[in-house]
Amino acid sequence: MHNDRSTSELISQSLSGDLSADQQTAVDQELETNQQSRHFAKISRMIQDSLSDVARRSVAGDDGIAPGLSQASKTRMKQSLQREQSRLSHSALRATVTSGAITQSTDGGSRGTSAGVRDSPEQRRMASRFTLVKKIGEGGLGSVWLARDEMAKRTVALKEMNPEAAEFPRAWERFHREAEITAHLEHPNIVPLYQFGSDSQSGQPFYAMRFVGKRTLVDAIEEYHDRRKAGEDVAMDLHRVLTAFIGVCQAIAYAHSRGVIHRDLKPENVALDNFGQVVVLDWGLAKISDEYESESLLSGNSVTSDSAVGKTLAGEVIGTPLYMAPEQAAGNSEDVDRRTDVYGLGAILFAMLTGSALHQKTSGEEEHSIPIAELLQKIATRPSPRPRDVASEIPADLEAICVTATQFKAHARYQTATEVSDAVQRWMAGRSERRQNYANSRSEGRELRTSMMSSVRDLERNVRFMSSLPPIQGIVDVLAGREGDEMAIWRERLGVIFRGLLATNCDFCSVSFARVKDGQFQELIRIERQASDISNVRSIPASRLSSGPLTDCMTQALDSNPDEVHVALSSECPDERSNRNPNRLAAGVPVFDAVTEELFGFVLIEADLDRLIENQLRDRFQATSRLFVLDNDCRILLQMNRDGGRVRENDGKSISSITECWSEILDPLKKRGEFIDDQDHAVYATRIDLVPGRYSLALALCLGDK
Amino acid sequence: MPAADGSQIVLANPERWVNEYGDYLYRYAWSRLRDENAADEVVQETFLAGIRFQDRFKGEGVERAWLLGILKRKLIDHIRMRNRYDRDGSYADTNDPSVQLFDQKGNWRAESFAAGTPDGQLESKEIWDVVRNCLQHIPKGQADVFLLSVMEEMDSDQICRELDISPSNLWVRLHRARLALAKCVGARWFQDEGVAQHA
Repeated sequence: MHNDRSTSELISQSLSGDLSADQQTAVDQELETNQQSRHFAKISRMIQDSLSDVARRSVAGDDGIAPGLSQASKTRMKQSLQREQSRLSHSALRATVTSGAITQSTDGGSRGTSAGVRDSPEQRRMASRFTLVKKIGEGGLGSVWLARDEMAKRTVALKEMNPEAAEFPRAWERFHREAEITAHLEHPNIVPLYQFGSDSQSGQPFYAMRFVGKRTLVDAIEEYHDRRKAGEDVAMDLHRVLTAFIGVCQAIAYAHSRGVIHRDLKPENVALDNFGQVVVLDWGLAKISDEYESESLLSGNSVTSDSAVGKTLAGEVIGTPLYMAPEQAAGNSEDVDRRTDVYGLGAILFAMLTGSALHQKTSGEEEHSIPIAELLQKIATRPSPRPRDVASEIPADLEAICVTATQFKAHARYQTATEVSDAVQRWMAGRSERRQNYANSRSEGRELRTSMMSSVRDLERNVRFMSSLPPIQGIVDVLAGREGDEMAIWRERLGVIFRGLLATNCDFCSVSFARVKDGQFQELIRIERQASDISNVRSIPASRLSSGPLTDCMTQALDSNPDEVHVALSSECPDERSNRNPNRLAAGVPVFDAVTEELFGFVLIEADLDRLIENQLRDRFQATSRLFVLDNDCRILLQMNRDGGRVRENDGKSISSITECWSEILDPLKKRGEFIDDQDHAVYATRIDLVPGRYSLALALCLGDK
Repeated sequence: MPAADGSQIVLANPERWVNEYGDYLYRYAWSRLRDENAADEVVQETFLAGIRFQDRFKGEGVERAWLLGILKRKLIDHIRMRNRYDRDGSYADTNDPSVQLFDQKGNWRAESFAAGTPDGQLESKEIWDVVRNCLQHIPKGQADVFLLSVMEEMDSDQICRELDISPSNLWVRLHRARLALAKCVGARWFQDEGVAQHA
């Protein structure tokens, strides 16, 4: 049972010529009786006839059916077509397009369209020239094959466009652009392109280039950090990856000189062969910088010139987020220039130093990674991380290069890739020189320590010897009322010996012999060097000899056993004489009455510590570093700058007040007696135990600016 | 390279191509796509493809027909993409003019074609003007399959394959396009005629 609605469907079907005889009869009857159906059929037929008529007229070229192209469209179209024509001509000059077409292999059966068949190397072959061996990489735009160039008898890498990507005109443009730029850049660190062509069957483009192996900078970085974590000596590994980095910088500097900005620098895009050759790959996202764009540097009016692609890229984020510069993440394609690549170089250096990608931390942990849009927003608005945020053991001045290259604001970065390369090369050269200087300073510091320890032992030996001189016992005997020479004679004899001691040891400032009674000391003889004139050694008259209560220092010397020397710094045993020279080293030894074996007094030699150190340094210090001598409380006793000049303005100040790094040095110095700066080669410090376990000096040699 | 018509063909002379075939291809594309920008784009793509694959033109036949062949392919590609991504794609499947034309029992409403049908000898240009106007007012998804069927004379299997739609979906779209166009053309024709007579 038909109603009008179902009849209308039959009418539609009849107009399409797809009705059975019965159905046609039913329709005819309906049209006889139903005016509305008749109207519908008539109007529909009229419409159909009109459209068929227009279709015929459009094939015949009737210009009455519609207006033609606007003049503006024609002009634009002509320009676009000329660019494409020109680009194809340019490509044809480099390669015979059809000579390398991909065809089915002679024994591989028909060419399939499924991925499985396409990926099967034994079924695919570049009949006239290239034999595909195996697929070695795949990206969004194309696949890379290891192939055999049958003509040149060599292995090549062959990149072909994926069929899926071929659906999109922009993918074509990019693929062509990548090939064109790669061919245009002739540099030892940029992969050379051998041939560019298109598949004669599918029309899809491909290009053959030098096969540089599968090893990339990613592998080298991973290897370096694995060895470093295993505690192996990685100095040479670091040297190798930095040498590779310089190669990348040079390739990019060259590309910039040709007006090409890579825009996707990352370790994955740097191939390394087994002979140290570094090759920058993947120029698919490259941009021609504006100043070169107008000069049509690549291929005249190439359709792939950036003005063509650039328009479509405006506001689009191009690159790899983990290594992306802020201006790229913000989608500001107009702000992308060679300094964007400088940032990319900094990102590669970051990966080398830390073993992780620049924005890895920002992107969150693997299982809690943030969405890409959020990551890009963070990259576009926040300062870049510093290498030491990830790994603290990185040499500071190498980190500084990375930090400068990855500055948030482009004007604060190195302005060229050459500057980055120069900075790293300077660091490498400096490191070698600094390593040598550091080694020198280290042996210098050790010599100084040994020498100073030896001076202290000499001091001890001298005071012990002085206490055993016959005039000492002679004076003890006189004062005990025993028979013998007169006091004046013993004093004179002792004075001569003491003078001789001071004359031969110019860093000794005094030697004295005192008796002790009831907690008081009384100097019996004292020979001292005049502070303002070190050549003047004088004997203190009996009327001006010192006396008074025993200092702690004296008490400790007196508490020692015979021939046991107590060494202390003047700061430990302050008395009024200390004010004349605060940096004195005192060595005291008790004197006993040989007859009664009772404690009688002490012999004390005081050395001018400044002069002692200066004398040592004069012979041994090469003045390639700043030198600090610190007391037991880490206060500066003596500071010398690089020209060997004595700096007095920091005397007595705590070393912590003028450098931040001392806290890192102090702990190893206390535990091991030595601090060796393997990382920066900037500071060497050693401990000099004046009184083992009780009083030490520290000697710090600073090669850097820390 | 001699062409079938005996003229010497100089392949891929873009300026000549645009001057000689630009309007022709554009009118053809416009009549099928009903959109100036889309027609412009498809013609440019046709020329670009022509340049890229110029080695495949063997001179067998005229250059214009070869380019028209490429254009037809580009038209179908464009319509496929438009049907896949246009927001009114689903509208094509849901918008049913039957609601306005039939009552609940499925019979024509009295006012469906109240004014009757155009009479007499009509100028084809006049009809085309009304039809192309009405084509702008029905869902693209319906208009596209209708034009592929009527103007490009593609059979239903071809259309279903190219646009990736089912045969039943195709028939629904075709019928709805016919109903909507008939209603629109009927109404506009008499409206315009009335206005003309009144004037």
